[in-house]
Amino acid sequence: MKKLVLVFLVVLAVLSFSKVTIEFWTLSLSPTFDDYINAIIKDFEAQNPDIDVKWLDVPYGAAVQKFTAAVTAKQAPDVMNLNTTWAIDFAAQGALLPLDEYLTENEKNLYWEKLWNSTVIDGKSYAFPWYASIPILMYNRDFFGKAGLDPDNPPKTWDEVFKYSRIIRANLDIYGFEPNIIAVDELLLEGIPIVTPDGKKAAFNTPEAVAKLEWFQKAYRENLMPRSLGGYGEGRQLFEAGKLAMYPAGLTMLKHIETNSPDIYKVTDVAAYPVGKAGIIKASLMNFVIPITTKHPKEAVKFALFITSPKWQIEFSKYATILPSTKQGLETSEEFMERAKKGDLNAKAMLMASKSMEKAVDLNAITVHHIPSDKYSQVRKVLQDYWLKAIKGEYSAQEALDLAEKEINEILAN
Amino acid sequence: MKSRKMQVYFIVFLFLGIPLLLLGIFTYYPIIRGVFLSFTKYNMLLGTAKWVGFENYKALFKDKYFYTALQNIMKYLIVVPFIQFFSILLAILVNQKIPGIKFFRTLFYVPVITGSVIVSMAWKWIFNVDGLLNYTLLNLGLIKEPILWLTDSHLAIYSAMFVTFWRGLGYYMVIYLAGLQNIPSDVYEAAKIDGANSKQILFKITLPLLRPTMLFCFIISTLAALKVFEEIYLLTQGASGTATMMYLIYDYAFVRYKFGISAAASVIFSFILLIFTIINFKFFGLGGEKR
Amino acid sequence: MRKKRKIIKYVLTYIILIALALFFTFPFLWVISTSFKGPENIFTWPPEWIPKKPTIENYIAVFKKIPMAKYFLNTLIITSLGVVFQVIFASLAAYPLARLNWKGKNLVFKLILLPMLIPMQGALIVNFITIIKLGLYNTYLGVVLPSAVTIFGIFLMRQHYLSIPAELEDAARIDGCNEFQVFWKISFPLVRPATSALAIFAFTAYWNSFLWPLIVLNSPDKYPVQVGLAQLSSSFEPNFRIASAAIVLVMVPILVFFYFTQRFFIEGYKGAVVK
Repeated sequence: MKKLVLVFLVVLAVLSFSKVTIEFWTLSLSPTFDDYINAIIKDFEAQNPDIDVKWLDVPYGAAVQKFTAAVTAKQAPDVMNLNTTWAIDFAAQGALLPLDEYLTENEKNLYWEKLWNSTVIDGKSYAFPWYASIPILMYNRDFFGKAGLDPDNPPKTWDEVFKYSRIIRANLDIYGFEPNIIAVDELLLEGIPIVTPDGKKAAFNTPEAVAKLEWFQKAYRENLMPRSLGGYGEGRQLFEAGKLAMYPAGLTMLKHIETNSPDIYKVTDVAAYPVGKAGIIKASLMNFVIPITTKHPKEAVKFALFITSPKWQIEFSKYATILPSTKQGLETSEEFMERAKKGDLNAKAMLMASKSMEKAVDLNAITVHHIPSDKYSQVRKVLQDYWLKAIKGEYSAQEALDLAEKEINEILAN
Repeated sequence: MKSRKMQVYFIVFLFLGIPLLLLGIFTYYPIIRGVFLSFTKYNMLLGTAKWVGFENYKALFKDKYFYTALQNIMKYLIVVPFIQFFSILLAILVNQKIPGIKFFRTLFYVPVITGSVIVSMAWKWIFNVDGLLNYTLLNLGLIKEPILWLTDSHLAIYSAMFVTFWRGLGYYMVIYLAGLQNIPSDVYEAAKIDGANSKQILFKITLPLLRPTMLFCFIISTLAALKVFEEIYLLTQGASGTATMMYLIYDYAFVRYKFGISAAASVIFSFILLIFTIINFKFFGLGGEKR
Repeated sequence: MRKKRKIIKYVLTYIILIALALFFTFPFLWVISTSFKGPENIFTWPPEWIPKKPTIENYIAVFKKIPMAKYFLNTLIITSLGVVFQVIFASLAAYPLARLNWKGKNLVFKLILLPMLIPMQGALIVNFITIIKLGLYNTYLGVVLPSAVTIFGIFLMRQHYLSIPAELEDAARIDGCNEFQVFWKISFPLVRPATSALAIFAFTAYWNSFLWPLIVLNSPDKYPVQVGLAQLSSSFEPNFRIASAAIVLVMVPILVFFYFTQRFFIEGYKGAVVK
């Protein structure tokens, strides 16, 4: 009898202390941020003694395949780090847990609305916004000076970028700027809708769209931007090699320049990213999602809230040139204000970017472009093809938009 | 005698048993499953499959990029004779017993084992509008305006082919080297005594004797050309009209999440590969199994 | 006169060899150069091939940033396992296909060759599920098993087995050997060049494996070196010098290996193809 009671007590004890283990995966954050992530885990476990946290970092390039395989095989983590496009894709496939029943309005309100809404589909929320990168304009003060431009007066609009580029080409014979052209984004930034709100017909073939495309065509013809249209990657290499005067790109690129081309970094300065007619800035947002296969949704949600909390996101900004997705941002951090005052270019850039976070929109979000998710990549591809061909001179702007419109209407009609 | 026959069958089952089992599980099963899935609308993540008959195939036949991909793999076959011809020359070159030749052979093999990150960086750096190639051509006065090697929809695929060529030479060189070393040296000596010059030796002796090797190499080279994926994925991500069948299959599966259509494309593609293998056999004559 | 010609031919040959060597290795040379560079610009134009102040700090950094030594060990384990499996299974499977007479032999062989024609993109996930059902998730065995039997391996071994003179085997049979002994004492030892070649091919293939191990493994301390490379080349790791050092560390062993074993590669192909 005594033995039975003992066994019973032991079982009771074990059950009341039974730990839940949750697993989360991040994208390409190791080994760089090992200390940071481990600090989060330690803190969370200390505050939640009944939850153990296991961390795995996955290389970005193989992430989709690994995550797909994991979900299919029911071995997915409880919390997964994904970018907005992937989050929406997986949500559309029904692989993610809708979060609304697990969260209060206050908890949702910690984040910038536009960013939270990126991953809301049919009224259901699917992701916690995490760190964001928004583009800034990096420019070479040296080149400005040599071309006769005022280094303290960087361009504020794209038309100014154009004007400055002309001057730079004329005086220094190097490229003025390198854009990262994504047709759908270019249209959205100018406030041009891609499709009608019901997602059934193309809506982008407008005079404003023609004008924007012609703007690019001119820049191409006058050789103000590299004709290889290599985007961020090429732009960074050209800027670091001293062959590019203005580099509009994500904040993270600044660190790259600092590490790989210290000489160029010395003469680099930053300005706010030029804004188009829609008054929004493109944000590159990382999120946390919860796969539908999770066995511990409550604990997963708790952890996701923890790791995306303002405190920890601001902390993250100290390690990397990224911005918190929470309304409480870097201006509340004394450390950043101090560093900027002392002339730290990175800190200056981040504070400047932080002020623009209110305007930050993840253009990959269906709530922004309204293209049905199963047609999204096709529509993007068609527009991109014709847009680039027009820029290279194979079509006139109107021709390209007409052709794209026709094809996209067919795609949407199916 | 009877017991020996039993021994033979025992060995057949024992030796082939596990290998065939493993092949069955990891190679045949996915293929059969793939064929089945090509007739379904398959949500891989949730594991749900809905029978849709030939809908996936119809969708492919309506897809503009499907035809582009088919065209591109046909175009890609051009690379095969080039790789083979130059690999043979290379093998002849490195077949000499001169000091350091082993070292050079190793260096020629480097592209075969160079990882994707480096390959894509290096070749983008060469083919970029202000890359090394244009820089050199401009400075030599051979062109007046930079050429868009990777972004011109007419040129891009040929640039990718050149990278495939660069990566493949060392690989086939080793195979042809084996073929060459199988030719007894007295054949060459006899030819020299008969007064043959190098060109005659090459075309009348070496190449004909290399035929079995060439059959082998042409087949795997053809299959590799038709199945090309990495160079496209690394250099252009299927843009500028460079999508190939393998890229299409990948794109449908992991970018568009249409696994059923991806499977259908795989099925169609397999038939194409089968046809080309048969063509190769007919062209080079049956080699290898007459025993 | 003859000697002069020979010298010219010699010199010309070496010039061509060097030119070709540069053509084939230029990306690797840039990587080597970058791996020894200190805090100087690496993306300059024109590129600078010789580091201004060569240093080995990047190589040291590789081992400090990631557990590279452990990754090398993991790769070695995966590679060794893979090589052993491939050689054993191919040697065994090809024997009855080449040297014994039984019904259906040719059909089985053709069926084995067939999957070479089939693109295997979808196989990744199906095989992953199978591995999990077999309880091999996050194990080295799970990494190696799906590729333990290769069609190319069976083909290679079969072609070599075909070249064994039947007389040798028959003599053994007359001497009273049973079928197993014929295999073990006569046939198998005669195809040693092939088993060596296969071992080498398998080695190079497993050394470079990236995606499949990444999918099967769930513990970062089991990752192979290629994953380590990916970790050092991510967008948050902007120091390309360290990534270059890692690349050199991963490529050099395989190149050294090739240099010393090329004879076996060649022997292996000799038997496979010339039949």
